[in-house]
Amino acid sequence: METHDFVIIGAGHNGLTLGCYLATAGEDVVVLDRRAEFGGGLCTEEATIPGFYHNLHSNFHGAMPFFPPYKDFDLESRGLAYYHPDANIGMPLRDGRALILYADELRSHEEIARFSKTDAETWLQVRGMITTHLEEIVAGGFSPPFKEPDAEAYVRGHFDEWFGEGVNRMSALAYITSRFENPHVQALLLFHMAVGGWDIREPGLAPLGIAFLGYITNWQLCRGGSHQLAHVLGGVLLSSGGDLREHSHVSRILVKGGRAVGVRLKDGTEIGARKAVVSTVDPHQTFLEMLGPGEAPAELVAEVRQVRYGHGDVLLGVHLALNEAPRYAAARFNPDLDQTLNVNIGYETPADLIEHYEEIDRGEVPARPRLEVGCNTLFDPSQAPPGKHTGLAWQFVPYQPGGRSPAVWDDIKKEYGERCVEAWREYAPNMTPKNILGMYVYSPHDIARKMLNMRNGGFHCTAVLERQAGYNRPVASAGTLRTPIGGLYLGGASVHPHGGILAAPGYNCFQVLAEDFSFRGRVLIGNKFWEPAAKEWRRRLRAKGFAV
Amino acid sequence: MARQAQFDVAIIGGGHNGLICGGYLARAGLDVVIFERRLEAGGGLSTEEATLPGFYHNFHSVFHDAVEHMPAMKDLELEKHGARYVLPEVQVGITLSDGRCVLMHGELGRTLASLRRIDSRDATAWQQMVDDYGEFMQTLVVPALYTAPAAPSEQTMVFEESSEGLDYLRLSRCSPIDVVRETFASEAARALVLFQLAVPRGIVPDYHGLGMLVPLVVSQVERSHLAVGGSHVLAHALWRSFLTAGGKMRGCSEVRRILIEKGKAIGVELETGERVLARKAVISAVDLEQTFFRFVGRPALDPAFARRVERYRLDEFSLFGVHLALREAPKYRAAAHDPDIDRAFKVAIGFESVADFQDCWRQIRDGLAPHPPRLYACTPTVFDPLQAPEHCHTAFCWAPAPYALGEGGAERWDEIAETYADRCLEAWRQAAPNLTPDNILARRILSPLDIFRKLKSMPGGGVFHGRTSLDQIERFRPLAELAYARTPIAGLYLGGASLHPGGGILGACGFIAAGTVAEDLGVKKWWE
Repeated sequence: METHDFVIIGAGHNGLTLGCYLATAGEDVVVLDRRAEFGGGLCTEEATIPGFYHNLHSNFHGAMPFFPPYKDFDLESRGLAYYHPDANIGMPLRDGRALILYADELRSHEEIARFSKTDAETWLQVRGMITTHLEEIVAGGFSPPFKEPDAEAYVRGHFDEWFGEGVNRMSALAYITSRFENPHVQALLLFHMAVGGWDIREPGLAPLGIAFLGYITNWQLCRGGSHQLAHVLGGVLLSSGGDLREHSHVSRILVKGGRAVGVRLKDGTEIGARKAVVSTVDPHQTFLEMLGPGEAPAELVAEVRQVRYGHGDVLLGVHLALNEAPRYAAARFNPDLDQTLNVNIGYETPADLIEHYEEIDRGEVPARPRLEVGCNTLFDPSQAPPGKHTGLAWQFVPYQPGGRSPAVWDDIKKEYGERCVEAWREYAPNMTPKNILGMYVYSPHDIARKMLNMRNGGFHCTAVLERQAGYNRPVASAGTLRTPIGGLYLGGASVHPHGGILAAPGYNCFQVLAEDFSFRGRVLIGNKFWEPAAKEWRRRLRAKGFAV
Repeated sequence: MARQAQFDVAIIGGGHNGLICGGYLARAGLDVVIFERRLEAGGGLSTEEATLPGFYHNFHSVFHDAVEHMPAMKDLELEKHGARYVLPEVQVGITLSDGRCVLMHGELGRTLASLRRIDSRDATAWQQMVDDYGEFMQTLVVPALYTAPAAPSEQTMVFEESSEGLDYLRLSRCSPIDVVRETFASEAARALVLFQLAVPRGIVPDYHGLGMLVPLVVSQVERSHLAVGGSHVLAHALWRSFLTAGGKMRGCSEVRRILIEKGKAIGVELETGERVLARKAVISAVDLEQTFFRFVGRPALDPAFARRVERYRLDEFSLFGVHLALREAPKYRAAAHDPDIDRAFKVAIGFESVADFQDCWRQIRDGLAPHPPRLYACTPTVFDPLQAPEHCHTAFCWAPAPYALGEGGAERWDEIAETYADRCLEAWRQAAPNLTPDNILARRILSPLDIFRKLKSMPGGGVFHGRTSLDQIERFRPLAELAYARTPIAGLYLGGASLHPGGGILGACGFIAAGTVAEDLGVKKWWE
């Protein structure tokens, strides 16, 4: 039987990241993926017309160049590049005005001041506080969660200390509306938390909202398309001696004497794991499908059955091949709007967001589409033929329209896609049928069929809820990335901190493995010994008197 | 100032030839980088989920005839790196409108039996041709595909030495039509041969001087294989092999120009403005037009040479593809005559006689989308269930068609694509009645214009990278002075399908180019 030290299930960006670290550490690792193309949500396809590239899943990457794997593997030397447009997020208004936030903090201040001088000052103040603590907040995301009660007290206590009494019990909605006064400013900030794929109404998630605020004008685009990041990570993995296999559908995790010892593929091939099996797919597949009856403790099975998938992170995508880039009516107010990376269409006030959340709670497809849109080719012309453009619009929707089968999407998606384009046209009059050379509508049903671990179409693979966060993510019995089954670990979007292109779950899993298999002190990345981010995090906690 | 990377060898184009060339050179100890313009490497090795999730469609190459011959399979350990193939036993089926069919099997005896049911004389003639040429093809013709082409005089001298050789030379003065007519009595048997010359070899039946390829088809020394998981799997295997040998892959990296200093190619400049130096060689695995007129530029070329490059003739036809996601595989009417037609790898619809081929290419030459469309059809999932979700299928048909339509040019394809696809499906449905609208879950069209939009190395939608006519093969491919991969610019080589033996997934052009480069650099050819 073919055997490796580590077998990783799933070659999304987390599985790849983990594989890169393990291979660099000199471990014998293979990363397996069910699909023909690895990369998971790093998925870019010529879905409309040849030569027009569409990011079907992740498009706006929040701050990837700041995260550890980017530097540890010198991804730029392999041709990876990110665009970070200055006019980063924007919002046209029906009344002809537009609010834009820039990578340049002071520019943003000026623009907010056109709406509210008070909010402009609050913006600088809040951003200043976040910047002061950002490193620490991010370190929390790039550390496996600690289960010690002290750690929790620390997190909760400090958000309150830094950002105001009671913040850790607040919803993002309550936090933003209590700090900012102008409804448009509120809407723009809340929108960028909502597109993070979690419920801005949920109490206890304000700290997550604050972390998002820290990177709110850091949306970036991967040159060539998001899938290029997968290629580059795959390149690091292979060049470091790791292996990567597509068309390898794991049907079973092999357990012997209560320990995971390998996997079996759907075609019957067995691959052994001397040290560990890491699953980067959702808990449902991992524990209920890949383990046999009785192999997972009953308590864990019960917990997994309660996991919620697809809440606040279910999107319908409209992908367009365009003759010309969108031109907004509100560009008269601020011409930069036509050059803004990430644009919010129609969510003009918090009430507009709430209306959609409530419609989706009821299982309704939102009657008035409101969108997150972008035109990547303004910044990266290589994503379309010369002079042409691509357009992307995302709409929050329920996975099961009207509570019916998700397959209903096959019948309604095209018409709904057209309505999304109409909604866009209200703000960008040149988005006419004539301007649209091709359209591809990608429904949550399509998502769930293409990416099995995006159950119910949710891009976080396990919904981001307070009860499914930190060391409770995805479930309490496996929240520290170790599972009750010896030699079986978790490492994908379903663990702390969450999905999206962060590479943090994969990175965190490596820290856990480094501890359990004693890699510490001997992992050379580049020309220096690798230091786990968690070490620094623990040091800080201890300095503050917490026992972790 | 951005950092300026340096390598020994820079290869432009990460199609299968670029990857193979890179794989050999990286294993020879050279520091090699490949620049690929597109997001996905592999060129024509392209498999996409183009209709519905889980349905994989091979947009370009499907029939891999050289798997058993290409040295890269073993040398670059492609199986170890994930390339797997299936060999369909029923290789080709020609459906006839009277409800019968004729099949070419992997096993000669079964092919003869199928022929016998049409016309027993053709079974005898077929057997005779295999006896006459089988060994000759295996020992002389196939190895020549993987060798830099010999001078015509040398080649002739070798052939003159045997009676098969002399006969081969005689066939080299005929067209395929001449040869099938003098050999076979039935139109069906003639069609069975001609069908395999047009795709995947790019040889139109009336091409003068290519009659010697008839025995190549008949003796069946090259058998069509299907890549398990889709053609792109081979691209991944080549990529893995290249990287593990120390090669560097730069995707989404379009080359703007080849840097030339004192008449020598020294590197490339990318569209991003980045300059990358190549200390020993630059190899262009893309087409001639881009290589010489875009990347080198006319001022650096001898005008007479530039004229010869301009004269290089593109493919005379392209392919119009309709890709389907299906509930059930096509069931052919001709299965009543021979049930094996339902598991034929490559199925002919509307190519029943020499006249059908002539009619098809007459229209193509007149700039018409042929009516009726005549089709190459294939259902990969009959052989490889991985390419569709359980209990579902993918299938496609290709209609040979012109790139530029007489009326409206190539752009007109966008207008007529849907209607023409309907016509293709009608023609297909006549042969396979279960291709009803409710069996078809989704479809995706790839017109000749789409092919060029996708792959810039296929100008004119030409999947064979230049006409496979007598004046452009072997020692004359692509031009006499370029046949050994060297170019008039020192340090600049060709490595793509414009070289002998041409387009298709043969794994030959990049292999031959690697040999030439290794020789010039004084690097040991470890593979010999």
